[in-house]
Amino acid sequence: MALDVEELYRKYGPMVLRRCRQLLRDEHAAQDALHDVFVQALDKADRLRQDYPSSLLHTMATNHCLNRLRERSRRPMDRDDEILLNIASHDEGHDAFEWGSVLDRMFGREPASTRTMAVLHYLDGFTLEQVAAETKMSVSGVRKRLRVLRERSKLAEVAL
Amino acid sequence: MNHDKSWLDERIKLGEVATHLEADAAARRQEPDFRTKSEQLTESDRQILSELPPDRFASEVLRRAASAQRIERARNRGPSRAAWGSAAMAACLALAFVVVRDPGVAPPPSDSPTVAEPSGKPGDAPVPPPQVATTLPAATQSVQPDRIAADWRTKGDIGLMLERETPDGLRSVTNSDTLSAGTRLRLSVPAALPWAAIYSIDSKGEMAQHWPLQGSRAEPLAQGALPRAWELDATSGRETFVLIRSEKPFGLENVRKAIFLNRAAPRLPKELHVSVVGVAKSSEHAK
Repeated sequence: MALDVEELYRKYGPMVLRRCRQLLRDEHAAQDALHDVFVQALDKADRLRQDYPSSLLHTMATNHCLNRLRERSRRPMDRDDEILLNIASHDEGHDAFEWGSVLDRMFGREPASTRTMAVLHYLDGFTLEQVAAETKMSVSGVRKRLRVLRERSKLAEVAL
Repeated sequence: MNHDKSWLDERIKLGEVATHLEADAAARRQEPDFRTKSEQLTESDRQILSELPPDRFASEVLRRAASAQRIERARNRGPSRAAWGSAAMAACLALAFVVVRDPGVAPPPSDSPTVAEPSGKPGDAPVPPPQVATTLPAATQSVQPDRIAADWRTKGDIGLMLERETPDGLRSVTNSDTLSAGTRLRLSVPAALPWAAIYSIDSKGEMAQHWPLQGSRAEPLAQGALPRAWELDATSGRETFVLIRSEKPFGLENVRKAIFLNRAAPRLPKELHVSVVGVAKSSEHAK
């Protein structure tokens, strides 16, 4: 059954927009991202019915905004912004190959972006256990991914 | 670092606190600013839904989804849309010409897809006007083949060169040529480009990606012709070829979207240089 976009937006749209505003810090870009996140959500109707929609939409919005940040280059405005831009610029091309595990495919899971995990952990303050629960990963898997990201980026000074 | 836990307030407000967050949520409810923050979220909800009503939002989302599906279908079909190598020969009707349009002057094709242009309103792509290689003041102005190249060169821009395959070899495409269904075009660039992408879009909004041959990020493009020729199909109207180039790598998702929305002058970040070549064609096959 198709998603009722109006109903979904009425309940979760404001939350998604606030998330996009928080990450993009640009009202116009945030509203554009809000629309795109809901376009993506149309393809995830089943998961939206199974899981807590707020969790999934929060992760989708984070991932989408990171992609937007990666595409546009701008000067960081503050410390958190600098960390966010560092995370966004992390190249996951290698990771996608490395982490796209057979198990993930066997169980039909969609491995979450390492960058998204990093934002949840470093900026939002999710514990590793909470990131793991949010992204349907093992704690050790999350820890390992974040370690690799830190080693490859300028996040080395950020303590876990 | 101060963690922004507003996400937890959102989950509590929505009544969607997962098991792994229950302890944090219980603690958060006891914090002195929780009630205030919760009220702020409620007021923010009201304001957002008032400024962007659900019906308008849903309409825009469904429009974008339909556009994305069309683009994806065109991309999956790739350059094969025009039936590579199957040069059907049939009765030919002329009235085909080549133009290099000035997007500031020439209007978009009347048969372009009925989608809204980015207009700076909420929900539109936040992209500034492009730098476009332009040469002619009007789409119908007569041009000679070497004139097209010369204009590109004098502007310092790098444009797409179009040549058609003939039994006698390659011939530059001119306004006096008859470009019919089945005509095979060679696309080339006069210089190596660090990062480039080339698309075409026909009068029905069907897009094809000519470069890179696959993938969703721009790739370096060597000087000269693309590895594959392009055969015009029987869709009447105008076929528009768009070259996007940059000194830096760039993704193609927004590029495709921008071209689909406005083929004559796709709105892209200023670091992306755009060259547009329009080809009018008939639906008749060449004899």
